[in-house]
Amino acid sequence: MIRYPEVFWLFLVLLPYLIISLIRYRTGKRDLKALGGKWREARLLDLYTVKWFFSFLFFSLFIVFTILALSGFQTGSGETGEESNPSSGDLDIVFTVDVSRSMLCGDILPSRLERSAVVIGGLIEHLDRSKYGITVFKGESVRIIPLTEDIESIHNFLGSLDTELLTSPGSNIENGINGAINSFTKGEERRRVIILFSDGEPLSGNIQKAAERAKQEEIVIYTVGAGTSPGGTIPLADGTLVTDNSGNIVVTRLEKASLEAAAGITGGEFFMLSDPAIYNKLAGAVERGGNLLPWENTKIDLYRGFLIAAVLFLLSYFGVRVIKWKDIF
Amino acid sequence: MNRLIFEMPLFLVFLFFIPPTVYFCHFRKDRGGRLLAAFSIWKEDSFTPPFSIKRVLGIFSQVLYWIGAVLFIAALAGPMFAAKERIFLSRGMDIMIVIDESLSMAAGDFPPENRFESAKDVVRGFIGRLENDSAGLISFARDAALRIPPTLDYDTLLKRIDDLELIQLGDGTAIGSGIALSCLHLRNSTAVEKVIILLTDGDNNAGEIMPRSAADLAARMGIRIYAIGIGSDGEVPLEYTDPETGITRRGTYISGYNETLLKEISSTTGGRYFAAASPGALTAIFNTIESMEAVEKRVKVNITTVRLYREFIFAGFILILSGFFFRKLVLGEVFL
Repeated sequence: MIRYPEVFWLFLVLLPYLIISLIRYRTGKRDLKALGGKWREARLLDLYTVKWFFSFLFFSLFIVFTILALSGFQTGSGETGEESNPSSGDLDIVFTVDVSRSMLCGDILPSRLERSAVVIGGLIEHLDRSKYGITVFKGESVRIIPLTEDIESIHNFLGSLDTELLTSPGSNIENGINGAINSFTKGEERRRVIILFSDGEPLSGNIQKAAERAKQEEIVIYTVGAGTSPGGTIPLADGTLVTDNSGNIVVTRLEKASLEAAAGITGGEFFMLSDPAIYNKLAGAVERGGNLLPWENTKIDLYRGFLIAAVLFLLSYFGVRVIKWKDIF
Repeated sequence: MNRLIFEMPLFLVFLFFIPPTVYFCHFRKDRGGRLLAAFSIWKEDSFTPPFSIKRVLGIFSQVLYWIGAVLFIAALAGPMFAAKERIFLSRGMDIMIVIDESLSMAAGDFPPENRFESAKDVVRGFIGRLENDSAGLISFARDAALRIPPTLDYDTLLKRIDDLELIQLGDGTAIGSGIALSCLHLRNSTAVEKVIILLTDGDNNAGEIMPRSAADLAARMGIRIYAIGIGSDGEVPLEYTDPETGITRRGTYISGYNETLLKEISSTTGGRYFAAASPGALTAIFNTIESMEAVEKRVKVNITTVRLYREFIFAGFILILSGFFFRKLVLGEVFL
């Protein structure tokens, strides 16, 4: 299987290479006539054509094999690597909660945010031998509780979980995930998990990029979609509803796709906050562990063969040039 | 701790073939790729082409090829970036630092500023030396509040220490509340060793929990208390500016902590009592606690490697291609 198929775009290099080579072949013949003189023109041009052909061939093959070496070609299933994520063991769990105003929406009762707090509160009572941390995000991410065994402090905080915690505007899930990744501590071998609560309406940021980073660091992300697809309005503390610039009432809906993608990339799962069984499903999934093996522990890329071929073709390309043929050039 | 290693260094032997190959390609007398033309019989030395920018660029483009070749051979050897990480197999201890933030901590007998700032400095230094021991922070005056639960996240811990300010929790000294709150937040700790370091400069005069009962609670939970009494004897000048109102309060203060109480608290829990009359003494006390509480650490070193061969091939590929296009397009190379 091919690990980096995107490098095959590099084959496009062959096109300018072909064009330049053909043009240089024609102009080269002309220049050679001018330089070499009439008396040996026929022999020179014959040899030039032969040498041109071989050097063109070898350099093309050099390009092709270099690209193949870069493609991360692997044989076998690629899933035979040793398991690096033990499904049991101590857990580091960072809850990262979207506290943008849309989380006040009442499409999940009592509100998306309050329901999230309830789920977090239940979950931390359930899992043994775990450390918990909490980060919240809007446009920026803030670490509220660093990883700790002290679940009292988590419970204390959940009571004050509110959209007024942060003043930064917007909703940037990429920053949210990155903030959670940064709050893991080093020096211990523990399974690392991020549980993200959000309605998935990112106003900025690239969720996929953050998820790729988490995957690289062997962190599994579980996402919880806070909201429903019909959505709902956003009530404010004074009883009014949030309106947009032209005065229309804003309706916020759950955007599942990005949340599902983030979980999928890291081997986690996506859950709906509105699911009555979410609590058991989430706890079960977190305890089982992620189901994706990291790349680094699977088969090693078979790049050496291609690379040796590439180096040999490069040397042959040099050889065509510097080995004198028929005592001419 | 981070360095470059090669998976199969034997491949690097091929690098020795580079110099002879360079000679063969560029310095050998009878090399190809050149068109010799004799205009007459010449018996003097051979020509050396005159120095020109074009010639320098020509040599430069050849250098690109050869650096590219070197990178390819290095890539064959499997370059890897290796980072060592210390993994602690044993659970460290949990330390709760309980610091008095009542008004009397503004007393100026601890240079350079006051008792409070000196204590913060010493605590910062103490945390800077920790590894694998979780630490948390509670501050108290009339009330007690958790500033950060016990954690290994020292960066966040240090930030919260910076955020500490005097009399945010009113004025008073609720030693009992401070200890009781620490017990609450150490309740779920799986650490074998649990320690409270209590820094105060006054007598218990607030809060609903008596320090002695709080200490009993700690003793039952297996938490040791190290009690540190801060301050020199006699009258000390005190100056405090409220950061919100800007009102400065000045006066002299007759310092005095309840030595008997602190001794009792520490002895019932199996800890120790210290008197810190100067910042230097405070530092020494923290050093003593550190050496008394040294838990045996079992450590293993994990080496995580990142393969770099693709970066090497990419760099080499770009150099060789740019060398090629440069020679053909800019220099107008005729021969192959």
